[in-house]
Amino acid sequence: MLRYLRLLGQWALGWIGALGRASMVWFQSLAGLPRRGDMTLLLKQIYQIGVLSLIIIVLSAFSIGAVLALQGYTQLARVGAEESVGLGVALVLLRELGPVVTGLLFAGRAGSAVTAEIGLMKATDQLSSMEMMGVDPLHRIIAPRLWAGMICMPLLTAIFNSVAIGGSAIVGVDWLGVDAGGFWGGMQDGVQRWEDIGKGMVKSGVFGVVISWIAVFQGYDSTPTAEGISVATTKTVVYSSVAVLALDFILTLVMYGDFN
Amino acid sequence: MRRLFLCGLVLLSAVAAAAASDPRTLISQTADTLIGVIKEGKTYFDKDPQRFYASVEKVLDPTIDFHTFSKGVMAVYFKRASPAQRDQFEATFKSGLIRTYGKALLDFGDESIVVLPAEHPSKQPDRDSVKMEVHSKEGKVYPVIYSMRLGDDGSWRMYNIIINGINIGLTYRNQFASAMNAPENKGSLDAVINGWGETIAHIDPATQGAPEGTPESASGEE
Amino acid sequence: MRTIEISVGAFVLAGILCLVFLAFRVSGVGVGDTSGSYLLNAKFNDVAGLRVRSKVSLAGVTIGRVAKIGVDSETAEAIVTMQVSQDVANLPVDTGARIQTEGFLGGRYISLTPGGEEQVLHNGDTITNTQGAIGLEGLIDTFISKMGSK
Repeated sequence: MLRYLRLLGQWALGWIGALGRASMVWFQSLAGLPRRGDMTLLLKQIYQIGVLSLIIIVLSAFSIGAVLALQGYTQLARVGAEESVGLGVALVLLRELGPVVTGLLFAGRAGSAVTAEIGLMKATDQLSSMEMMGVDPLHRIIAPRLWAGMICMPLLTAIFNSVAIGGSAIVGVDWLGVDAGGFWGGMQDGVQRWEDIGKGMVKSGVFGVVISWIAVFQGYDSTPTAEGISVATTKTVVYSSVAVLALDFILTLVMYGDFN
Repeated sequence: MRRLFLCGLVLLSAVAAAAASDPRTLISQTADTLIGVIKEGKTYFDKDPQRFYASVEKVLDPTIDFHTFSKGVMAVYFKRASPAQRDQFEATFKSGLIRTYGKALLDFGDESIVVLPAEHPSKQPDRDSVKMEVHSKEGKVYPVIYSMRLGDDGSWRMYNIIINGINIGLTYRNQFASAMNAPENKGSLDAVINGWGETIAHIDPATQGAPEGTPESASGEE
Repeated sequence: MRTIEISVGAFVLAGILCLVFLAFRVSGVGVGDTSGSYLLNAKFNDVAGLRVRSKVSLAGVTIGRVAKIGVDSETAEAIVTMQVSQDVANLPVDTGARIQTEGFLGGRYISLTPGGEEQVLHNGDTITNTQGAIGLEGLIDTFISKMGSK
């Protein structure tokens, strides 16, 4: 019995310790002024993290937008409200699906890649060699990836939302025959800039920060073995996904709390 | 609905002499006067309806501010109307009301009326609203609210009435606007003013003056 | 390196363009976006079904949104605060505010009908000429009572 309590205690302490290390990584990476050559590093990371994620984001967005339009149309047509499909799809995407799905895809594709990369660097002693040469790995390796993640998430979310809405328009207006004026007009009438778009982008920003942080830390903190890297990448995807979904719930409550 | 409106008118009529400083007193003072007129009216109405309408008008004149009431009904069109048209509408509006509900007044008899005391002081010195309840013989209670306004001559008069939650002034305002937009009137103020008697004979305030065929008019149609 | 720079630039540009698309084609011009807005209050006996963000319309055109719904405990009335576009600035003091239903299934909204008075409403003024929500029960009651009085 006591053994289990002790294990629980160890686990909890270990968890808190990890949080502490993660926070230190966070602050130490982001502290300090940018130096010459930092921009190049950042650009390279934005390419790796953002540009290379575009394919999956765009394809998923189009499919999701199309499916939402299809399903929405069927249900709304029952009560003669097909023209509202534009508004319905737009609200669902902007407020919830856009940030969340982009976050999940981002965590799976970019997050795991970053973790693996950093984990491998640690396992092959690249990080410690850098330290010995007087180069701060937190500044050269970690920070660009953190910043790139935080910049790319909102951009990817905006692209996701636009492509999804475009996809829903193609299905709704061109295929199912919803009146274009009603589709777009209803959307414009009901979507509010700050309430829907703005708050959705805030969500994506928060997700970007959290996912980048988890991905980077898991790589940095991984056990420097092949198995360790694999465990770390899995943790990134799992923790990020859970964090995104949980934060989404909390943020939704906070932002849209007026449910009555 | 008409009976309710008319209970409202009953209460409104004040003993002409009293320029009451309190709107509640004004309304409370009324019941007997108009009830008396009605009782008398039942005897001679079939022979001389005009006389009845005239005596009702005499009682209501000092109590209802028909100028403000009709101005509220004309709403945006008031500015476009010439002084002659405004006066004509005020007169048409007044006689229309008295005529339309005058006959129903005769059915008034067994309802009891309670004027509620003021729950809170009015926020403006020259405006107030008086709440009243009409208890029908079946036991139903209908709330009536009068919007009162203090005129320059120091007397309170009513300029709007809300029966059972339905704002009568707004209902008539909508009806006036609908009439102005109706194709047969071609947007002519004179046509609408002249046709007003016909228009209100067909409104039932319960439908909020909505044109036929809308969801609001589908229930409670006469 | 060149390709990386170009693709990152294109990526960021695409992202920004998408944001612009969302802000303007998806959300349209909001209330008072171009000219600002002011606040008006209105007291109702019943606001059932009206929500914050419900629209406020004049002659069928959306000119505002409901910003807040509160209660005046003294008079037991609901106080609705509306944000109205500055484009609609000269509403007379006897303007009417009615709570209506949009279409058959739709939500509630406030419809304003200007009055005939010369004085106009200013920022923070209260509309007293109001008509609250008429529930289905109310209409049924009225119908039944009319049947009874015939």
